[in-house]
Amino acid sequence: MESLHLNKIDSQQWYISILIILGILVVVIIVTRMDSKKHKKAAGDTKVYEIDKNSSRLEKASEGALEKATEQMIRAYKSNFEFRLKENMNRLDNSFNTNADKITNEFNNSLTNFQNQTQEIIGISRNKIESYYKDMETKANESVALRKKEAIEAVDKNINKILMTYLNNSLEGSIDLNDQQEYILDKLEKNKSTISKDINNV
Amino acid sequence: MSKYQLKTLPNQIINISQIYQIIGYIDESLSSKQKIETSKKVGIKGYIDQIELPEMMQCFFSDKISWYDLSDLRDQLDELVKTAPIATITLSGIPNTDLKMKLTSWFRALNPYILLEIIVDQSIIGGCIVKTERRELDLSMRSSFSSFSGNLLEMTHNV
Repeated sequence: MESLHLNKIDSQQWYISILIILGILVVVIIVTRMDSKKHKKAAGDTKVYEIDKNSSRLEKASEGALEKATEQMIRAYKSNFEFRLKENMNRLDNSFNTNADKITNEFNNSLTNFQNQTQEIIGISRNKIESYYKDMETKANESVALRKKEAIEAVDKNINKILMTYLNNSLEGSIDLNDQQEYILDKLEKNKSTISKDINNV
Repeated sequence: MSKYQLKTLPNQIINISQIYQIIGYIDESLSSKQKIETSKKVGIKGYIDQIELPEMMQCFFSDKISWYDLSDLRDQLDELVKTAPIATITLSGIPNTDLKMKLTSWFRALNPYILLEIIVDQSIIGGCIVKTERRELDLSMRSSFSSFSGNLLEMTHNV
């Protein structure tokens, strides 16, 4: 930026210089013409032609000089401009090279931050999904537990009735009481002590 | 003369209604004896050979009995009705005589004067239920199946 600012100042100075030179030449031409008029008046008409001739020559010379000076100035300005441009480009290159590491670091930092943020977002999403699945699992388990409880209650309520009805239907008349003698006496024998205490009021 | 002593109830005598039947028979016999004494002036020490004892009474006497014996038996049976323990046995069907005798024998081994009431309830499926004054002891198959169904329920609870 500084170099560009300097270039701007330099170009302004050149314009001012050119304008000053052009101003001087205009003044010279005017003065010369005024002299010519004075000489015409002073020397008379005889010398008017000569004076005009000299004046015209001087004018042409002045114009040539002006063109030449202008061309030189433009060339000098161009040369100066190219030099400054090259210098600024070099400075920009240097600046870029100097700051390349810094830029790379900043880029890397930005990338790292982006990755971290992305991972954080992914983490949050994963947590939300896991939480959702956990809730679903809890609700499913609660539902299963409820159904299980209902089924158990239904079984609790009816199992005895069902079993006894089934057994009565399937066993009625098929177990001869006489075949149970051994079973009955064995059962009594196993509870002999209790029965004895009960009937003897011990 | 020694007093007749009922050491144990014969196994043929199972329940209280039989006791009442015997008491009734003895009362009837004693009444007949009084009629005989009055009419024939027979001594009270005479044996009652001429009186044919019913089958259920024969089990009480292994030898000849006197009127005194009969009178003593009546008194003891009368007392027995008031004091004898009674056990109610529930079976799944009508027991035959053999089973009745075995059951009576088994209980009399625990108490010689115990009286049994046998009732039938097919719903117990098998085994028996013994009910005394103190408690009811369920030794039936129904009870076993109930325990089984209880275990089955417990198993279903744990599924």
